[in-house]
Amino acid sequence: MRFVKTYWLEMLMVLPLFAYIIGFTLLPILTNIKESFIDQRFGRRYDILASKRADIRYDIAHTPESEDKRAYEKELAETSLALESLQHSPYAGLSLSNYRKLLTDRSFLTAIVNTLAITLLGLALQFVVAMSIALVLSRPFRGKGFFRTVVLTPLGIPTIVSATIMTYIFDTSGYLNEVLYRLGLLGEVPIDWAQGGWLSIGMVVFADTWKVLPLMVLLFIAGLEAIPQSVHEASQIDGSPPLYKFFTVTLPLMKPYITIALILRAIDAFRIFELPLILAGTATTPLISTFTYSEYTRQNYNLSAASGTILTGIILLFVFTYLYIVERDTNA
Amino acid sequence: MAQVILQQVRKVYANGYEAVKSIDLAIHDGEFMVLVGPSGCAKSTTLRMIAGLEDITSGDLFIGERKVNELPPSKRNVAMVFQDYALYPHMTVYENMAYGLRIRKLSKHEIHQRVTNAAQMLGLTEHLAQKPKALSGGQRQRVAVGRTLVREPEVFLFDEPLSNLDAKLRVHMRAEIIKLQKALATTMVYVTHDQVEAMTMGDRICVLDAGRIMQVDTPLGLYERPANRFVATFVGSPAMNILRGRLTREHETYCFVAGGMRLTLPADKAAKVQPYTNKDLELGIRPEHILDKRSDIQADNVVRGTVVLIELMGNERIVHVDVAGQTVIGRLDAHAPVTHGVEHDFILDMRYSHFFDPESGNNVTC
Amino acid sequence: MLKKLLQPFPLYLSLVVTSLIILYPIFLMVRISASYPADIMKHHKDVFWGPGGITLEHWRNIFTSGLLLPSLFKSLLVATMVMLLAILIAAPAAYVIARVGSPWKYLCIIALFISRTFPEVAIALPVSVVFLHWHLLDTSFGLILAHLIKVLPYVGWILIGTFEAIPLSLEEASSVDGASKIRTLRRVIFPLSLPGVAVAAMLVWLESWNEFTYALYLTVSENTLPLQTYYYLNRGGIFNSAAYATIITLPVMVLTFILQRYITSGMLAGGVKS
Repeated sequence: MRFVKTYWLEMLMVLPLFAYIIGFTLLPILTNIKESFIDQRFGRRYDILASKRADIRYDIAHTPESEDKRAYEKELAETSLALESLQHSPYAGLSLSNYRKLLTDRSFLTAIVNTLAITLLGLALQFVVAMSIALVLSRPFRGKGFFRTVVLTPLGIPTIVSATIMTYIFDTSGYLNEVLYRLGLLGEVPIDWAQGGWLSIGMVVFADTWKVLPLMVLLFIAGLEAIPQSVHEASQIDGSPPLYKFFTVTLPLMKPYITIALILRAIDAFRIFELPLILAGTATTPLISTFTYSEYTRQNYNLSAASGTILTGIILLFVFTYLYIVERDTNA
Repeated sequence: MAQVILQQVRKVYANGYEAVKSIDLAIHDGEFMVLVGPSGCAKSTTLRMIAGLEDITSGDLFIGERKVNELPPSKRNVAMVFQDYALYPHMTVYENMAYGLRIRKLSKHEIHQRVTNAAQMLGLTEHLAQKPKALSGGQRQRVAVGRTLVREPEVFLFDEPLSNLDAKLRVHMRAEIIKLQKALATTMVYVTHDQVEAMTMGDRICVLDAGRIMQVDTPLGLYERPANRFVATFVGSPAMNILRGRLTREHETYCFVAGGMRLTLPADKAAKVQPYTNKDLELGIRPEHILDKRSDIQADNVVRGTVVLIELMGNERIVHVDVAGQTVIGRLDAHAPVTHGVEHDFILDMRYSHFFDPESGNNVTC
Repeated sequence: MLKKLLQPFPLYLSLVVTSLIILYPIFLMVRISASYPADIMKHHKDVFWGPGGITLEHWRNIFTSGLLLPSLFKSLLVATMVMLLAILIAAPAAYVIARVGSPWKYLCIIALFISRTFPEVAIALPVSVVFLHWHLLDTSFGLILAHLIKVLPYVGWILIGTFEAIPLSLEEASSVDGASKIRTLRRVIFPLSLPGVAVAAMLVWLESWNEFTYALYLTVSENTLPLQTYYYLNRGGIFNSAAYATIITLPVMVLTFILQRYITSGMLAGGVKS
């Protein structure tokens, strides 16, 4: 009690934030998980009946005593009965039917493969390019300031905008195909980048890398700057060739930064949504998140919930790996 | 002005660590009391308990006549100078000093009076309209002091205020603070880890080690009558020599024997160390009581040792001597005829010797 | 190898090529929004510049279409309200968390971090179902609530750092000077946190302005700017979508330019070291 008396102000200050997060983040996630274990057929039927019942109740409350009202009341009784019997149907209760359906759905399995491919390829590409740029920016040269500004520009471009631009470029009659044609690499038949498979994966990877590069470059620059100048000088005195030094000195010293950068990126890469939705569409190149969305648009809420839950599970796996590594590194 | 009394005050942290182990301290009204000790001795913790920034686990704290254990800092009528000054960076010097007065709803006139007086006393008048970042370290420190002056509190608290200043400025500010205290005749509690600072500033000094009071006494009292080995070696630089040996008795004479040394005790000391006959004992003697034996004079208590290090200080020499495996440090005249690596004779003036119990560290000759 | 790379010619060549790749898309977007349809709709497009000049007909079109202003207004309204509400909710909490000791502080930071990682498509589903019942679909208020979901953990995390940077000794000095907790907050903490709060506020505004997913789930007819752009893209309206995209980008570029000084590599590294 004394605690509350001394700290009432602090408790009041923390309350809104935590209430909001519990109510609007935790609760929805838990609801989502719960919904995923309800058979889609039950779920849909239940939604229809429940909203019908709510409508009838509304009508009853707003109609005066009359023939109509009695008719409504009869309907209400019927609907309630239907709901009752639904509860006893074989579809009721918790079931794994959604998950079973997902794991046998070709589209979903493709989605998993696509998501994995985009994440891994993307990470590899982003790591190599961002690291190279960071290394180049760590030495002085003419025009460095200008180049640095150029590299940071995509940071200010909203995702929707970069997605829009990328559609112009990757369109079948788009600019990339045009450039390839002019360079003589392509004949008269243009490449349909959005047809699915490795082409679409490549397209999404490129678009994502373009958007995400500035952040990674900044991160790696921070990591490089954390290496004291004296280490560089010591290795110079030791006479180690640059490439050797990079792999044996620079890279290991940057390991904590790189690990954390990669895991954080992996978390974001797995959830990627806007870019693939706009560039590739859900038909040809599903990803787990766009698959979740398309099921939602088809009103297969429980299926969508299951897909979303799987995605959440994968991400939580990465999150706990990250936390474990950070914990281990701080205790090392 | 007020006295500050701590009765069996203990501080135990949530993880079970006992930082302050039941201390009793009475600080008199108008006294300059210094809390000194090595890092981790809990001197800052004790100060912060007086301020109200740390909870008191058990025991009582009185400021003036009031028991203040449960009072928050804002109600204790104390003022504090922090180690990092803690000046409000977004306010001018004037506003920094006026802050506490505005809270107490003093009239604008009164506030202006107090602030300008304090600024004048501290030489800050030209800086009143500036913000802290425009001031030097010494000036900021004075603003921090000014902030406490205008409050006219019952007790002034200082938490290592001079540690961030360079040596010359530190010496200057020490003098300023002493002058201030004498002029205002206020109760001041001052924390420092620097024993020189403690010795030059305090009316009385409280020496702490690992959360316990080792001794509370005047500077001279600590120097000449240290209550235990810790205080004896903490105060004074170079530190007091501590030699391990045995007490022996031949007829009516008591001797301290160690290695090749055989030192006779004067009668008054002998009386006190009687119980340690034929037992291990520690001898404490300050470097200035180690004298160069002049070859033409006969003397008792001569010790022969090899000179291992000579530090030339200009006005004197500090000589490290190896005597049967133990190192003795002496302060000799600048022209004493000592040579590195060569044996030399020294006299130990046993009138100024202390003897410490090897286990408890207590001074048996006090 | 790096030394060889640093020989002028290969280095500058790769720098130029990289810069071109990075800048080309932006250039393209602005160019398309101001080009003649005939120029763009050719079979073989001009990679850099077309024969026709600049036309403002597309810009005129979108301004007179009657669709721009409502979506612009909705995006502005939502972004500004989200910014205000997010700061109001998150700042006090961030202050308390910054001052609380471990282990609570660490737990809170982890909780905020985890809530940021949940996929939006998983949260948006139950939220849209509930909003349907509450008649919040298609409303600005509903969208504001949804954006807060995304933004609160993010701004909470940033503001914890802001409040940590204010030394505790300032609060202690204020307390010893006689100030109550509330006065200390008002006179000392609030003014000193303003720069950090301003940066966080701008970042929140940007997040809401660019937001797409929740808008997609929760809107039927009253589109925000990003949603309207998507609408045009789906219908093959290259020019309209280019113009909308440019409009969306304008405030973003301005704010990013202002914030650039504060998004130092150090700040991000702080996020990395946790």
